[in-house]
Amino acid sequence: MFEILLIALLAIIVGTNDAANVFGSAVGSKMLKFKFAIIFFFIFIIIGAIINAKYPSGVYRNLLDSYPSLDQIYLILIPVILITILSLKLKIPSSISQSIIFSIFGFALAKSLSVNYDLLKKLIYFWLATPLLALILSICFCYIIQLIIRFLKLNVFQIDYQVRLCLIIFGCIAAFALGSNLTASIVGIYSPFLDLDLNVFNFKLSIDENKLYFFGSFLIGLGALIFSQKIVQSVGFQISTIKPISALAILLTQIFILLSFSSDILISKINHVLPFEIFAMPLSASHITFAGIIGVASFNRFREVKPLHTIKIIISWFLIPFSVFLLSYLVCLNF
Amino acid sequence: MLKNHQKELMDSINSFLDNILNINNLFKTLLENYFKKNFNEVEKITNQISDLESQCDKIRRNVERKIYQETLIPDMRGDVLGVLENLDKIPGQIQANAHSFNTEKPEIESELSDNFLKLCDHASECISLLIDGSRNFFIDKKITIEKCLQVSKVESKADKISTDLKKNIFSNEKNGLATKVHLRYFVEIMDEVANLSEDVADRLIISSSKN
Repeated sequence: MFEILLIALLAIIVGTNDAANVFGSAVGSKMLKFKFAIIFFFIFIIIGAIINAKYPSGVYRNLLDSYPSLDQIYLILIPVILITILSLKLKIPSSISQSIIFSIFGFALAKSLSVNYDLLKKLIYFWLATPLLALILSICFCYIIQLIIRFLKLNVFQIDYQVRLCLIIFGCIAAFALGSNLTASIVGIYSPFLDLDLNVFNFKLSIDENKLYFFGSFLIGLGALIFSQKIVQSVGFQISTIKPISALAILLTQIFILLSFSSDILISKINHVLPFEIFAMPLSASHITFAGIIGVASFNRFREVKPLHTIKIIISWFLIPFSVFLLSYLVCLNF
Repeated sequence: MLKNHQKELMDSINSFLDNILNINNLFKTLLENYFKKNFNEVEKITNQISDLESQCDKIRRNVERKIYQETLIPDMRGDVLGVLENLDKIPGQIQANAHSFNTEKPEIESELSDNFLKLCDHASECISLLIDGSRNFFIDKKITIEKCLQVSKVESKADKISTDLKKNIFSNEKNGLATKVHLRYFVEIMDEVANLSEDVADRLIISSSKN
């Protein structure tokens, strides 16, 4: 039961935090109403989780040679939950997947477990590379969208309609991509214990893989529905003003990166082309969104970027994982 | 949730702009008839201008309401609203001018009538350029800026003619002060159309550069 509560709490926090990543720029730019955005988010996050979440979930299983037992998982999750709540309070977007990985790392060091450092190094490389990739991609997408609009000679109302339509369609695809990523982050830590038999108020509840992913993604949607309205409406504006075309470019960037690191079919195709190998892993949608916003802000020579908040977020990228690691290490030393 | 209003809105905006052009052309005809002393025709045209001006108001309100109700073009809604409201001042001014001619019937000497017609032509050219620029504001902002910059040049020509007209009016010793002031008033209200066009054009340039 305790495990279920922890997953539920984490999922609700993640839903609150991450719905903003998909539809935040569309709602923030006033192109979509919150209630419509959240309905799409709810549906597609569940579909994405059921279809793709199993791939990035595997990372947690492979990080430690001997995985912690089920009754020790709370030691990993509690530092993540505490730091994430704190970062939400400070209005700083955080990455749940990174926090969980660093919490596992802290746990492993405290309990003297051997860590797959090779995998950890690769994860850190990709976590550093993906925001950079998002920055470049968002600029490219912005250029491409503007070229298409100029080529088609659309009037402002046609542009408005097409951009709105694209924001809904791509928002759904982004929610699908995020569904696998976020659900993998939350329930992935339980992936080695799939086919759980839990006692919930004297009822025997058996949870298989799909039920776990459905449960996680449903609660993410619920968290988004109940708590995310303010965050969704203010996303972007804390960093820079977002125009509808920029919102579309950010969304396309998210889809490209998130799907590339969660869909097994895409990964195998990309690996045929790239000189190095990529693999399914939970990424930070918040970092990708942030880098995308900075990318589109470069079109205005960063004039609308709010420097203090931007610096605060970049510092948090290093401070949050370190804090989770430290807290997890200290907690695990004492319990 | 996602109805395509673009055709309906663009049609409304185009008919709003067409109405302004029609009012502009009608005023020229009104002035020609006035100098020919066809006062019945002047009254008829004044009524036509009033009808078109009312239609302009109605169309503008509908477009504005639709844009806000459907939360369309959020990033340039304010600019479109500003442009439409400023544009709507021009038919209002022309309507007022038509009524002034129709009711006050100023005594304009034949040597001044050519300059009055020239002033009307320049104001009319300002409006035509402005309407061209406004139409392109929704499609190609570079053309809008080009057209609006031309408005300023034509407006300067209108200013010169209005200054000449005022000089001629006040240098004529046959007329008393009341007539002079009366004629000056008509020069000013006709020049005001060109001035208004320039103001709207300036606003359009800013909105186009911003977006």
